[in-house]
Amino acid sequence: MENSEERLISDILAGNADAYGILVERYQRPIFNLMLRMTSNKEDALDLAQDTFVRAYEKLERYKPPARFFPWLYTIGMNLARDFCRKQKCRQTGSVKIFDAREDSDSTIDPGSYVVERLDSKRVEKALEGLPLDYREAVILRFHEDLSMKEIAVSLGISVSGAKMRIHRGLLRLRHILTEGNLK
Amino acid sequence: MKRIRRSDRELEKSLSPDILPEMDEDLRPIAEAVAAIEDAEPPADLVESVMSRIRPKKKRRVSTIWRYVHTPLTSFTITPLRLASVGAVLGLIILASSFVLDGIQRKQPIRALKGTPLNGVPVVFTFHMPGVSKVDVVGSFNRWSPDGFRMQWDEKRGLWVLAVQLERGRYEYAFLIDGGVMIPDPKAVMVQNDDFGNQNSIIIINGGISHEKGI
Repeated sequence: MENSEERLISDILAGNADAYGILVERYQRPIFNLMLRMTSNKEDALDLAQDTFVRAYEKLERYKPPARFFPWLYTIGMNLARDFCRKQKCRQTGSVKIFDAREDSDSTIDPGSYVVERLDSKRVEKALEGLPLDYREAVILRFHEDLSMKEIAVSLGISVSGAKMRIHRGLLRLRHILTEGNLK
Repeated sequence: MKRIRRSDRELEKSLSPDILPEMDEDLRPIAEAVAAIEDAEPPADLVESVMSRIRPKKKRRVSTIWRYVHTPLTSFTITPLRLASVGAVLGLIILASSFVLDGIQRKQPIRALKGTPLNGVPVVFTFHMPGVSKVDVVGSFNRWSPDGFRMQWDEKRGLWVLAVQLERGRYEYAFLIDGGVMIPDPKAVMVQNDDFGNQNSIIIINGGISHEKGI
């Protein structure tokens, strides 16, 4: 895939603009979802996702194979989203409101087994909103997008050890939110 | 669209001690749930909107011939001089490609289109698009359905290739990339606008030699 992607990009740089549609098609989902997490607004997410792909196209000469295209694209998207959120009012992360998650469940279940038995993606998705931006994106890139530690480091502009730390702490915080009832 | 759950082995690798030291076992279900989060569907016009905002990059080290064959013609006037020039170029192309086509013919069985008489004209479609997983030929000859018109990747030549038989006539066609994006043939001599703001390539099959590649 990486080698094929390299050839595809070489084709685009040679003047075949249509070939870029393949890359947009391939990565529109994770980029659009990144923007949706950042802005909580579909129109803004669509605008930012488009801007990300257009900016990446304009800067394509700076992309350096054999690194994968997606982490490079993600970095551009993250920078655009951060700029947007500096200027606009974006959803705040890391401000989880406290409430008892067991209110609607069997009160005899202990917190540990509650997480293991009742954990579903919807709850985790909600809990992710409570994480600081870098923790949330590091966890998503690792387990949802399946990027390597090095690729996560590149995507977020941090060191590899920084990426490991954010993932670990991100998971610990998620567990805390889910088990202690800190879920909005 | 729901993500496919990652295998235990893959997840084990993600959670290995050298990556995440002192990992508690109860973090595993959380990682699994993150892997299975449902993505929101991107708007259907995202790809189209992006593509409408970009222009082809300035070509590097391209020859005049390369530029000529990759620039679709929207309209042209036929003059005796032009006709003679086109005839000469076509003659050279047919001569040069006959060796290559021999090879393709040996590797690629020519399939008759449903409803096409056995004396249909053999045509070989070729398309240069590395890095994609599948390419189909769709057109007015198959009612724009990709079924049975999957191109084969020729590793040696770096081309997608499909050999079929078609009846004599004039057809519109395009290449369907990965089942999603439709691209006109960059080597087509003629193109035509459709009613949806796109361009289709034109192939005219007459007496065994088409503008595409008759065998």
